[in-house]
Amino acid sequence: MITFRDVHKAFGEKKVLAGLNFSVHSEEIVFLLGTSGTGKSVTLKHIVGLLRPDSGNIQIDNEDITGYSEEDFALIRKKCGYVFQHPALFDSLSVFENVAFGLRAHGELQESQIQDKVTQSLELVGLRGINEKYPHELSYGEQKRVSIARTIAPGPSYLLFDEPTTGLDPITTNAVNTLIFKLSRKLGVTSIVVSHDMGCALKIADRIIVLEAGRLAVDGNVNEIWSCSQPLVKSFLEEVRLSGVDIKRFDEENPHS
Amino acid sequence: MILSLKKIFESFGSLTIFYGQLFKSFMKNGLPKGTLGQVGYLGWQSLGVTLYAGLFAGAILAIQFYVMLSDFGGEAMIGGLNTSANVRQVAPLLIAFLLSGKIGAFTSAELGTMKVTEQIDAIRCLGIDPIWHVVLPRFLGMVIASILLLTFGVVMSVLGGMIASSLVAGINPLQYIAFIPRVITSESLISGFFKSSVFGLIIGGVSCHQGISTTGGARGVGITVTRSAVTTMLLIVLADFLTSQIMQTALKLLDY
Amino acid sequence: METLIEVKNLEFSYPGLPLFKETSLEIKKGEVFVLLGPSGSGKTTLAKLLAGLIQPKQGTVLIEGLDIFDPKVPPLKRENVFKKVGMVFQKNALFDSLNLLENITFPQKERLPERSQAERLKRAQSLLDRVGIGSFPTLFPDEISGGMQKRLGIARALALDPEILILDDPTAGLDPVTSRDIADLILELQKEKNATAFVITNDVSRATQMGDRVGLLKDESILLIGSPEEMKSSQNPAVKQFVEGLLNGPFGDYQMEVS
Repeated sequence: MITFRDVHKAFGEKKVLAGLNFSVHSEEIVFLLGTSGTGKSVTLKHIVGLLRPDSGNIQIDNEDITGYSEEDFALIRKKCGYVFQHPALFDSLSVFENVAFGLRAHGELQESQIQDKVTQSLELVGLRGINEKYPHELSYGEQKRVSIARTIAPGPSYLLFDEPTTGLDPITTNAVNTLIFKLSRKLGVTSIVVSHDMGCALKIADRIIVLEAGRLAVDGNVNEIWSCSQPLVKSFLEEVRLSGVDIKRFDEENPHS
Repeated sequence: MILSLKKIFESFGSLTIFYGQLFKSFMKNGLPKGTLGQVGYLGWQSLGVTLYAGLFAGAILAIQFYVMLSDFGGEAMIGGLNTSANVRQVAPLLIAFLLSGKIGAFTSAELGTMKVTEQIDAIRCLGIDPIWHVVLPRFLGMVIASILLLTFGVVMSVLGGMIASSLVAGINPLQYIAFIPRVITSESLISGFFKSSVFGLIIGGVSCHQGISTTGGARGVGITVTRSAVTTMLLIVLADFLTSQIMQTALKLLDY
Repeated sequence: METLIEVKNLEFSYPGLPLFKETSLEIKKGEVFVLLGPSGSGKTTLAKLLAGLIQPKQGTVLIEGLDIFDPKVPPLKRENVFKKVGMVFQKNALFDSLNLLENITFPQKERLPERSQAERLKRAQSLLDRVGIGSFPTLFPDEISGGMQKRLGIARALALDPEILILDDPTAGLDPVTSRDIADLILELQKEKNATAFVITNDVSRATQMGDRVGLLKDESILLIGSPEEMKSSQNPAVKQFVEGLLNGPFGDYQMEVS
């Protein structure tokens, strides 16, 4: 479980988080939505210590990480895998080496174990036979999936996705969204997805949290969101309606998968 | 260009802290994998330019000296004089400048690009220390490669001077070499090595520090590369002066 | 309506990556044509070809009847046609070292030297106001948010009073609300100037909002769909897959079996 209590964060004059309170429970898929610049990515970065709060309290599995140093975060980062918006693959390493990177550096695994984990992780994201390729030889969608494989290989119990489908075409968006859902269920992890795509959220989220002005504005499950009258939520829902896309909850859509 | 004194002090402080981080990481975790690879890679790609620069540095100075010496019939001394000047001053400075661009700016661009594409953050998120895994191999690689290349370049300058003297002034190469031991003693070799090490530390440290602190996307990388090359060269000039003074004083004290 | 831009049998490829083969398109004067397509299909490359920034291997691009790649065309004539084209880039490509106002006065100074300094400044400020970022003209691009940067990019494209607007992914990465606002702004400006617009995007909602006609980039050529309504009701499997984001179809089958 991850809890944020009254967290504040400012960058110079600009206040990004103004007393954020929320929690995420085990094995949930939670979407953090909001307009650009409301601190969604900033929130996510606090969980793995890429940013530190100005004030407030953050707890992960009952461990207070608020005052943690870079070394202290090493274990947290093993537990919480972070998938960046842009693939951030290591250009000079092959796909295999990219995925194995997190496994190798800790030196605890045998080479054969690493091989297995890498193959498994790539298969989980629907990629086969590209071990020897280099990032620049892959399509953007494939790069995204390799970056997800790299993050899941060490077996984290939380997966943090920073705008995974922003800027993608509808097909790739659906593919990535589907992948997030299936991975979460299959691996039994807790997923926190930062996004501004309400459509994706409505399809796969257990809970949706909407941020506005650096604070929690709305927190509810999908049914509650559909009937919510908060203005920002309504404008997001209006966009979904205008797009004309059929919002079918994921479990109903593919019963045999 | 108005550089506020405060900013200069801040960057200097930040650079010093960075050296501290590198040292701490090395003491804690030892030699990183890939260091030798970096030495080989950086050394190999700079071999050609170093050879070229060294030969020409030696040749240019030799001709200059010849012109001056022939005025009072001192041509015979050219071997010793030229070598002394080159080993001590000219060649290391020239080649260090070259390397600050060739390997320094190159590495700062590499690290800078990794930083702005969030690869460094990705490494941290995988629970790995980017300093030890990514920065330290490059730093050590540059220090060692610089020392080796500077030494190589200085030797080339002697050769260049010898060839130039023989072609232009008809000085017998054996005569050229004969004069060398008179001016080059073990102290000048120690001095040269010390200087190369300091230069290497500067090239490695400044470029890695600039690279890893890059912000602001593609433009940021451009700024980093320029700043890296310029800062390195300025510090090298300063270090050149200081090391010469230090060596002089030290050797006087030791009564060489 | 007369045809303003005509693309005939365009062929272009990057090494190892064929992009266009016998691609043809006609854009009518005053219309907004939206081109959809998956990431990496070459949409930005097409925008650059239309703007004359890169040369095709084969084929012609005619703007107002002028072959923009014909070396025999006198430079002045060519220049006059290009002055009418304003381009908004995917990654904004703003002038980082110039402030907001200067980003708009600079192109005017270069391409319309006959305008006085006072006139340039007046125009620049009015454009900044028009796109909603007029209250801080002396800030620099890296000091404003992503959405505001997009607005600046649009204002800059309008600096020379273009008759043709080429917009490469003008709403990429923005949240749906801001995205719609930017698209509205573009449409307002387009109508005001009676400009012709070529918009590239992979956002179906924007295509619906903005397009008079819509096309889909598929198999190295442009599939003409028609109006946004025709797009939504199309039975063409490629169009259907794209619009509905289906995992299976002519654009590929995505195995999502998590074993």
